Amino acid sequence: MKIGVLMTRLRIEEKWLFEALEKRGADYEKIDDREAKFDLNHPGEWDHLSVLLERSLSYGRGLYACKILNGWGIPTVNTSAVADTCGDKLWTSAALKFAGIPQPEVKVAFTPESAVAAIEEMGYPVVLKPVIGSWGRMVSKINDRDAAEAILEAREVLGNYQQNIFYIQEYIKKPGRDIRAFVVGDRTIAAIYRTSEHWITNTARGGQGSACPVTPDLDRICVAAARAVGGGVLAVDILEDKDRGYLVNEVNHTMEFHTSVPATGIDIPGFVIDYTIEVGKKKDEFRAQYNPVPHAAIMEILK
Amino acid sequence: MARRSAPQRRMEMKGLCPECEAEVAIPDDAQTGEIIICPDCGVELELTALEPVQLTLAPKEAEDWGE
Repeated sequence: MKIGVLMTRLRIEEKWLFEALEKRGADYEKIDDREAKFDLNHPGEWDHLSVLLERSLSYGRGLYACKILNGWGIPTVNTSAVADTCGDKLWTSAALKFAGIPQPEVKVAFTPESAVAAIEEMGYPVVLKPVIGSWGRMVSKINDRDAAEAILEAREVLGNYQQNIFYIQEYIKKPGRDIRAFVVGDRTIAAIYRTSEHWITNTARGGQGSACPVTPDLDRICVAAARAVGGGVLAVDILEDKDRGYLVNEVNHTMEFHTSVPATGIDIPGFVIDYTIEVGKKKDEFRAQYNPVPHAAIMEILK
Repeated sequence: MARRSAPQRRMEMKGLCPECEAEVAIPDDAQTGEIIICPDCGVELELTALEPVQLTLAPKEAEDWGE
C-alpha cells in the first residue's frame, strides 16, 4: 500500500502526520502541489497510490486534485464530493438543511439590494460570509444598514463572482466561545472550545483553544453533520445557542489541529492516518463503486 | 548487542534571508518545505533545501488558502 500526501507547506500538522505514518511503518510519499501535474488520459504516475491524503493549503488545488484522482478510481481523504460541499458555505448549509441538522438561519441573495432586504428581514446584527474562504477572512458582522450597504457595495466591486453570492447568516450570541470538534469516520475523537473576546473565534485569528468534553449529545450532532457532508475526516464548528442548543456553523475538510492536539492530548494525526490506511485498503471497492456519471448509458450513446 | 549510537547532531545550520540578508538559524529538526520567519525582517521564508541550506521567499497566501 502506498499513501500519497498532497501538501503545499510543511506545517506542524504535516510533520505530525508524517511522524504517524513513520510510526506505523507506512509507505508514503510527499507530493508538493506546486509540482503536481496530471494527464487526464494517463493516470500513470498516480495510479500506484492506494489513497491520497489531501493536505493542500489551497482549496482549489486540493479540490481539483481529488476530483481527478477520484475519477481515476483512486480514493482520497476526503473525497472530492466532500471537498466540494465543505469548501462552499452555501453547499454546506444546503447539505445540513437536507439532513435536518440544526444550524443558524441562512439567507442568500445575489445583488446588494436584495441582500439588504434579506438582512432587514432577518434583523440586525447578521453575519455576512463569502461562500468560499477560510480562517475567518472577509467574514463581517453587520450591525446596521450603513454597514450593510458599505460592505455589500465593496463586495460587488471586488470582481470575483463568488463575492456576489451573498451568504447571510443569523448572528448567534455565543458565550464568548465556540466548539471545534474532530470527527474521524463515525466518531468524534476530540473537541476544543475556542475562546476569544472577539466574535470571530478562529484560532487562526487569535482564538484560544481548551479541551471540551465530547458528550453523547455533542458526538451525535457532529457525527451527523460529518455524515451530511459525505463523511471522512472533518472538523465541525458548533455554536451554542441558549435556546436551541448546538447549531452547526461550518464543516471543514482539511482541518488544522496544532492547537487541538496539545489542548486535548488526543493523537488526532494518528486517527487521521489510521483512517487513511483503512480507506487505502479499500481502493478496489472505491474504484468499483465510484460512478459520478452514468457511464454505461453514455457508452450506449457513443456506440 | 550493538549500542544504539546517539543521533548525530547536524552542524549548526544557518541560511541567508533573501529579503534582508540577515543570518537565519535553522532548527536541528527542520525539514524542507518548512516555513521559517526571518528574525530580522519578519518575512516568511521557505526552507527549500537542507544541504546546503536554501531559503526562498515563501509564496504569498492566496485567496483560497485555508483549512
